Amino acid sequence: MLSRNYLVVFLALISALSFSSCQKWVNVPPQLQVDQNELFANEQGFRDALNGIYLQMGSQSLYGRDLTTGVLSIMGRSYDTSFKQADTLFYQSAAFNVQHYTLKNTFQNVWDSLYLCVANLNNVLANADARQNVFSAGHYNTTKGEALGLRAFIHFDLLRLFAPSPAAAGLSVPAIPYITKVSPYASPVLSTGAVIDSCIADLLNAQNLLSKSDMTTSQFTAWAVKGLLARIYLYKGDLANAQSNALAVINSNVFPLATNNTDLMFNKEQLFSLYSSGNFAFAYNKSVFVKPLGLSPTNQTAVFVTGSGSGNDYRKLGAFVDPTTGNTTGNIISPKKYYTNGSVSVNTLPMIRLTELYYIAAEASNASADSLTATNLLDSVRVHRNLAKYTQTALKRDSINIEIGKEYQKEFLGEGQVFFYYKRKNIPFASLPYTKVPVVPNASYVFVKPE
Amino acid sequence: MIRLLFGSLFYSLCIFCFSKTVAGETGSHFTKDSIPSRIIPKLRITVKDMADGLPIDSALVIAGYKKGYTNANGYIEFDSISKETIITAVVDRYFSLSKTAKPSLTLRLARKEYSFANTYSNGLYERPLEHFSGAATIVDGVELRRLNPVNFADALKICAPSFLVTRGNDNGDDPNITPSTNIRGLYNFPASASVVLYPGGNNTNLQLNPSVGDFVAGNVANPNQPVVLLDGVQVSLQTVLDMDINRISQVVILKDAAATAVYGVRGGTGVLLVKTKKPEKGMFNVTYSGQVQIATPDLSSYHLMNAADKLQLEQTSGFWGDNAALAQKRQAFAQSGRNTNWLAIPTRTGVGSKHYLTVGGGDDDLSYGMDFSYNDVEGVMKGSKRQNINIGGYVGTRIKNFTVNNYLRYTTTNAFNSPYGTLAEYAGLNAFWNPYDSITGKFAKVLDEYRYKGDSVRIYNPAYNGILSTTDKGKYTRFSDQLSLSLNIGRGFKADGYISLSKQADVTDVFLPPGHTAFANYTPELFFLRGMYNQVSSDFSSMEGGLNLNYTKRVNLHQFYGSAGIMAMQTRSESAGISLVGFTSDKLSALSFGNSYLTSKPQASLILTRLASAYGNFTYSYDNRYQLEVTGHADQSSQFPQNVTEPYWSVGASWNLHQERFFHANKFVSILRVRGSVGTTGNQFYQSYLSHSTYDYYTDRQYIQGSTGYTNVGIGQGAYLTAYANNALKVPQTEKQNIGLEAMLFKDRLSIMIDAYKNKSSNIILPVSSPASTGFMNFSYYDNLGAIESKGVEFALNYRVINNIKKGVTWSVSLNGIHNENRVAAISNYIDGLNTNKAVDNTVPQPNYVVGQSLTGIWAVRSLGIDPATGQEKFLKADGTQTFTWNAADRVLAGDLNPKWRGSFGTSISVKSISAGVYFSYQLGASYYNQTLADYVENADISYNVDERAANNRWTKPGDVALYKALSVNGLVTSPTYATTRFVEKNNSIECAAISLGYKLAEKISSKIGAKNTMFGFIANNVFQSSTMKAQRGIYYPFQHTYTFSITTSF
Repeated sequence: MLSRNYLVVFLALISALSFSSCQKWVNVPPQLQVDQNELFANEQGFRDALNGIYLQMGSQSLYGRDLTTGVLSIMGRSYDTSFKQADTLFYQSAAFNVQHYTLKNTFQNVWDSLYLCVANLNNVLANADARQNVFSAGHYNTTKGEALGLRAFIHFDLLRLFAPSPAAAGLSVPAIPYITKVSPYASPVLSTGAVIDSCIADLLNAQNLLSKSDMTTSQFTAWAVKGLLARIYLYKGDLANAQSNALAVINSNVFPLATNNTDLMFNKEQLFSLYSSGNFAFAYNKSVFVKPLGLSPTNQTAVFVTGSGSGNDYRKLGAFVDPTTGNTTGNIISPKKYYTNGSVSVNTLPMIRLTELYYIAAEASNASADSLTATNLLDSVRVHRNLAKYTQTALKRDSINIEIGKEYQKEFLGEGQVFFYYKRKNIPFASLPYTKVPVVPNASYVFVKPE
Repeated sequence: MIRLLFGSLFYSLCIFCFSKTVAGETGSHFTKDSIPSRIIPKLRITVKDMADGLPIDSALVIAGYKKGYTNANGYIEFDSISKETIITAVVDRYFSLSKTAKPSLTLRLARKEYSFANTYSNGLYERPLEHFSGAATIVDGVELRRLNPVNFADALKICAPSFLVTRGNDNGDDPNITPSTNIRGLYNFPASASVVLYPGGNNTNLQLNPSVGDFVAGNVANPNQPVVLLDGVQVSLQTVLDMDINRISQVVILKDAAATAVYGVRGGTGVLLVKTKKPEKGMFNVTYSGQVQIATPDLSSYHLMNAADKLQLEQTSGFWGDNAALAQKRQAFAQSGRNTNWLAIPTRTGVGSKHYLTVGGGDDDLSYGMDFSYNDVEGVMKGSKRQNINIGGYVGTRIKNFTVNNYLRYTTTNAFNSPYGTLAEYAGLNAFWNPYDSITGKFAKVLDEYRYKGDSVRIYNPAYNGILSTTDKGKYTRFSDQLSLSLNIGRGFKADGYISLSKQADVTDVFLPPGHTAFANYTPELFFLRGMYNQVSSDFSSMEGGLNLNYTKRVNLHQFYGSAGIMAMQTRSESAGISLVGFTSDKLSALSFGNSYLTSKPQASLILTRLASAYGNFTYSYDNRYQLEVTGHADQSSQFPQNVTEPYWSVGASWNLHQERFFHANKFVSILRVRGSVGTTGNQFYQSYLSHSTYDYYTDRQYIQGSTGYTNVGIGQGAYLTAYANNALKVPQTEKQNIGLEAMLFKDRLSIMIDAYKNKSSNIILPVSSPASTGFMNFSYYDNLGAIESKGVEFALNYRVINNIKKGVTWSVSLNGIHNENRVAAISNYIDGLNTNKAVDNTVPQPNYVVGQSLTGIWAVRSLGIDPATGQEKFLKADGTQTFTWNAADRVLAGDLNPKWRGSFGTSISVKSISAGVYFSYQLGASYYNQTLADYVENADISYNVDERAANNRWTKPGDVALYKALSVNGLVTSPTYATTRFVEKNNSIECAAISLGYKLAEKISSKIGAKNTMFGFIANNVFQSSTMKAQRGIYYPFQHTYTFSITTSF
């Protein structure tokens, strides 16, 4: 009897400690990191993860410097100052020497960091699908849409950096991998056309998920989707779609064009802008402008005044400062939009501006021989930049293209987009302005892919 | 864990209640029963074994003044016994039992613990050796102490060739370096190939600066070592090494599937069970053992140049050339005639001592004991030592068939490394330099100063650091407690359980004072950065508990054993390290005197692991002839992907031929068994949390417009992915196969053991190299990609040449050995990358893991010797053509560090009270790369001292047939010698591992001082080593000879 009792107790104990109860006990999360199950247990976790991606994008090696005010603006000819040979990276950038190790290293870093953003985005997407129940009404859609849109944005910039433009090499050349899931194993390299189609597919999905009423432009919204679609269709050469997407934003009138120059960054005109961290923006910008790097007064006049311009252009009048003091006196070469209170501390980084959509629509209209609409579109921007309308109601088609090029130079000074304009147009290196540093013979618009 | 604790508490409570009830019943029965007659006319008594219920023959039964012995049925009867008589049954190996007389009485006796002799115990259950089908080596503690009085691992490797203890050539016999160990070869790729720390990556899966007690981190760093269990509780090897060897009662090495499957995921690399002594019962007794250890450095492998030869060599090499000032300086050295033996400066004869005292006593019902131990191991480098203090307390009690015992232990260890630096720093110093300042007579700081090719050269004296407050020490304190419970349920059932807690705190301090030669070249602006203090604190705690239920039953010729149990374990490891710089005085050697932190934040890490297991074993024996055993095991661990249970199994069978009728008449064969087993086990020797995707938060930025301000507190926090889970990750598994033969021949004089085995480890976890486009650059991803196969044969022979017990004369000889081969069966693209990595030091042969080849191969380019015409080395390329250019792609497997055969042989003689023994370790068929020829001859920098061989056999002019390249001032710069087959040599060696002498004082004399069992002993370890290897041994720390004198007595 006795031994049977013991046995019953023993067996009861063993079953009490059964494996199902152990499952919970043995599952230990990492102690010094946040387990993703914990992070994504509520909606805020998704916001934090997306913020993390924006912060990563705002880092020095990406849009915080190298892809905006730094290397890309040097190659996009926003600055004409003489480059010191000792500043190897900037000097070689001006020479378009993409094979130089400094550029190779810089763009290896860009490649790594952008794809790291993609991996982070893919993990957000995978977790959003797996945990739809943690979202409040509608937020699953917006989170997913934001991530999809951003994934297209990053892939498109990777394409524009590391593959030749369709104007130079067509759509069928091998370009880059388009990564849609988190995996440690390689994905196939797609052609330029296929990457563009993947971007468009992601953006169209995002468009269906995002709400047009969300105007948080520091995040990727429905308006950023439209703007980016216009930009991508233009790059692809699908001008009709580029125009319709550009006009959709322009005609919605949700982004008003500026009527004064109190905000030189024209923040309200931005469909999508990034913040580099406030703590670091000063250092990032300083490392560019205080070199000093900028546009000399002579060339400011050449760009802004000569021809159809004016010294009263909001983007010219009082828009340049001395890089060291931040004052509008002295050696005024640096764009004031990056300065507040005399120091280079503005941390807004324009990614998609409304004005670019006007230029896209104008370029498309001009291509379909509608120079009147094109001129109108350009004039709409001009009046909001404190310029008179063009004297002719419809410029010649050639002049429109030249005017658009000049507008890119003025509007996106120090923002990196001019480089992509030159690349899209496949402008010969000899025709680029300010060749103080001779362009190397094997210059290229295509950066070296690290893999 | 909490559930387990409560469970055990509940369990103990229940048992307590039951015992009460039992006691109550007996008591009431005693008072109620009052038959008028006080005499029982016929008292029938049966004595049975409590465990299996079988009758006990020849048990002494005492009934008042009457007594007698039971018959074969365990039966005895007495006439006319008074009613209140106490009946007591006494049998050897059983606890005595008394009951009040009644007409028919059954006494069920509980067996005492098994004696080790014929029982195999794997820490969970016991089986007679005759019924066990697995491969295990059992070594008694006494045997170990006879071979090495300090280090059990060094002793064990002599007894068991399958247990390999490797002390790297670099660290020699440094007492503060844990040797690496493995059982039967390799199961994993070394950590250098299986753990990757991405630069800038955030690796929180691996403990930084772990405590020496942290076996989880230790196993990742050293993934071929066995799991070490101290009285059933997992500990690190260092924990056992820091325990007094006198406490070891037995060591068991579990090798094959039948032996290790019961440990499941912990059994893969083999298990080392260390069992400790329990206090001796009886009258209060005291034992003392004291010893003095003398260690002398073995520098016989160093053949450095003397002053005169070196100066001659410098001249020949043209080192001085047209440098008149330098030439003049060197001429002055030549004239001084000084010839310093630099190797003697940091080395010494270390004299250490050890004291071990135990007190104990008690009986079967209550026993107690305490042990104290102090062990000071003094190394052969000045200031290098390891001091252990151990205090243990034991208490055990038995209430009826329930026993409880508890052992509480406190350990503190202080480890000091030599402030003099490493031996290698001295080996490179020229003999003509004067270590002492000519004025003060103390160590000089600067040995030599000259200008060479426009640079100012200063040679510093490493010995100078030894006289400063240079500190390199580690200290830990450890508390551990183990509570064991055992309950003899009866009817063949027995249950036991244990709970163990341990907590260890380590602190390491490294202080380089500002005067240290490391800072000698600091320029004035760095003046306040001189001096460095590095302090690391780590904590390790583990909790473990388990329950086992055992059943034995015999029905006629059928013997059944069943065992089942569960176990749970938790470990927690934490560390934080800080570094300070900027010390102004050598005297201010505390952390607080530093000027600033070296890094902006401390390096901290924290790892928590949990494991839960269950096992079952069923063993059946038919007529002691045929045995079959089946084991099943299942694990859940925090390292596995969520909700994964890993199963393991083994099947073993054995045949006892000596029990067969046709063998019974044989006088030559007393034991002849064949056995075999197959099964699977796993190992957890990989990083924690690989199955978790994790995020970290940016701590220095937020996603907001403008600068950080009060209004933005807590807004825009950003998180980023730091690790991506592999949810399909499987646990590395080792399939084991073993067949063995055991025999005892010629009246037990010759014992033979032969085992052949094959292990296949698959699903080994290796890093995956990912292209950057995957985004995996900043976090590592691991997958089941590797596989290793090993196979081998091991044997042990022991022959008693003289076995005259009557006269007290015995002489025996023994020989054992193992042949083990490891082959790579699969690798990952990451290892491919390592194999072809160009950014490595090729003056050392780099490992190359090639499928189908050994893991321990030496890979070098085939050399055709020094070309007589040019003096350059001629190589054979992979395609068979000749070249003068060394290319890593042309490397071939030129030899293997792993010997073909390895083992030991020895003899021991005992004549009455004197005993003596000599044991040798040998290895055959191993190769090595003569790094001395590479570093100290061909790649040597002539401004430092070189090997004697640097002067001769060198190519000087076309036509010379030479062994070595032409002499040059700096061989590494002018024509570096990379891994070449020219320097791959055989490494057959024999080492006199132990010589022991013992004398036992006659009890007559002993008793005069109130003592007994008094013994004197002398053991010499590593007396000499002879090898075909002609290279320096002990690069940073020398090997040593150890001589130990000991006395043991008890009162």
